[in-house]
Amino acid sequence: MTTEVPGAPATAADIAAAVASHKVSAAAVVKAALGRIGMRNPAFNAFVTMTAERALARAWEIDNEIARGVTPGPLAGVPFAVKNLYDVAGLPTLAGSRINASARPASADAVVVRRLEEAGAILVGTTGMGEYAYDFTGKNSHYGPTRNPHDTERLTGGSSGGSAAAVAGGLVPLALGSDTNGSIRVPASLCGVFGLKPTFGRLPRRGTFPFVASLDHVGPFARTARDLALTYDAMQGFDADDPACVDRAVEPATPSLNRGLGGLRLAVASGDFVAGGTAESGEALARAAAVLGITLRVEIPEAARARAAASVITAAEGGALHFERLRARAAEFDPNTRDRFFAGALTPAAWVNRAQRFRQRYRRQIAKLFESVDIILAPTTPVSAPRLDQASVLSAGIDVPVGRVLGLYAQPLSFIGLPVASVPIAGFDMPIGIQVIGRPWEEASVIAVAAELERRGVAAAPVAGSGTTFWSQ
Amino acid sequence: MSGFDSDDAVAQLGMAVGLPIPPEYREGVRQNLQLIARMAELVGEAPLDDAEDEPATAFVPR
Repeated sequence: MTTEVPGAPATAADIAAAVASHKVSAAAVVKAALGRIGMRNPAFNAFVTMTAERALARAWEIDNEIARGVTPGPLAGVPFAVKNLYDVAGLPTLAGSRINASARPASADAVVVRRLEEAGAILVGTTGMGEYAYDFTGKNSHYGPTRNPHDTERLTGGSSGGSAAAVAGGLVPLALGSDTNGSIRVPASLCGVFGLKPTFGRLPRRGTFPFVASLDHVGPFARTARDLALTYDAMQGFDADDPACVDRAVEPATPSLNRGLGGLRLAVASGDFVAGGTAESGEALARAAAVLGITLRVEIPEAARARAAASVITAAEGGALHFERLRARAAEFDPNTRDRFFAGALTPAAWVNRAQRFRQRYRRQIAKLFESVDIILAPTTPVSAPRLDQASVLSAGIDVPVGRVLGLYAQPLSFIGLPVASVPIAGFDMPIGIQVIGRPWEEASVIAVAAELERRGVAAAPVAGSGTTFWSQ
Repeated sequence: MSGFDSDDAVAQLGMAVGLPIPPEYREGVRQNLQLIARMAELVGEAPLDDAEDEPATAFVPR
């Protein structure tokens, strides 16, 4: 911790410690973040809407509380951003669309936004995303593409591209995204930050604009494993108004950050699951495996069928959700999503039902795999960030549209709701991540392994343009 | 497997479910329906047990 906090993109943990110990005021931290966003956001197009007035008011409240001797929360004074599908009181919840801009403003914050603010974090704005979250690229015809802070001519990945870019560019230390088929993990990989998709049903989604109720998750981005854990812990807790939220005790991950690998049986995904990747995705996985001394290989079965089933459910539920908007306002959709939503709305119920039944079977298959291992490492994306104008990527010798290839390794895992962290691996010209995959409800182990990769120097999330590059880590 | 081989088929299906598909979108919609059909076919090839493999959608009364 240094006195540079107001100007430097410090971690959330550092900021909270500095604010709590009176080394810096929350107001100064927020003003510095707003200044950085004003300077750097035009290059990244990460933020769509700022909440500066609200943020400063909240910062002054926190500073006053601290001055009165109130013990601040674990995220005191930490600026954060949310993908613009999160409700923010007083703003329309855009979800990347033009259509929702005319919607009534949200009357309250999303549950997890409220919980982060109760922990002392301060919302500074909302970020761009692919329309209605049906996207792996970060492109958006209404608001422009979010741009990768490590090379602004390249994709951020999506659909939570603005949140990943906001963290990678050092605009804020924390941001929230959502992940239905990979929309946290894909941009985390391409932008070189940590991202967590918790177990399905762990974090409440109430107050977020849905995409696929069967598969939607919310989760954080951060530049360190500790920040990921702090954010995740602050958001935990049952919410009876989210039908998918499971009534479980809070199981904090922060106490396990320094547990190391003791007692964990680790394996690396192999075989068909990792097919279709470039040399760099294989190299990222190999480096992580080597530094952790992992020799066990496991095959995650039936990934192609799992992707197919997730895609059928996604199309059908997404299409059904937007049925009335398609009927009344089709011309206002982003051309990148419109035809897919239309097709989804016409998908026969028998196909969807079959896909949901396969999901049950696949859950059992993978649970069996986890009888002999605790953690599996796999690539997050088969490639690092493609160029913004790139149409396809060579995958297993075949040209595949960019939008279809980026979720290759992410989609089968969210399909069955496993907790997964995407961890940025150092040593590449452009960032690329690996997935740390755990059993349901074992986020603490997942984050502990992410922390160990960081401690052993193979994982890092340097701020883009900070002079600390991926290749020099 | 599917009969989504023409824009007309897409148009008729849309009309049948009360979702008219404007002509300029039909080819894109048809291509996407073909893709969904191929994926559904792959899913359909998996053996499923009538009793064990209930749909993974659950409703919890609260």
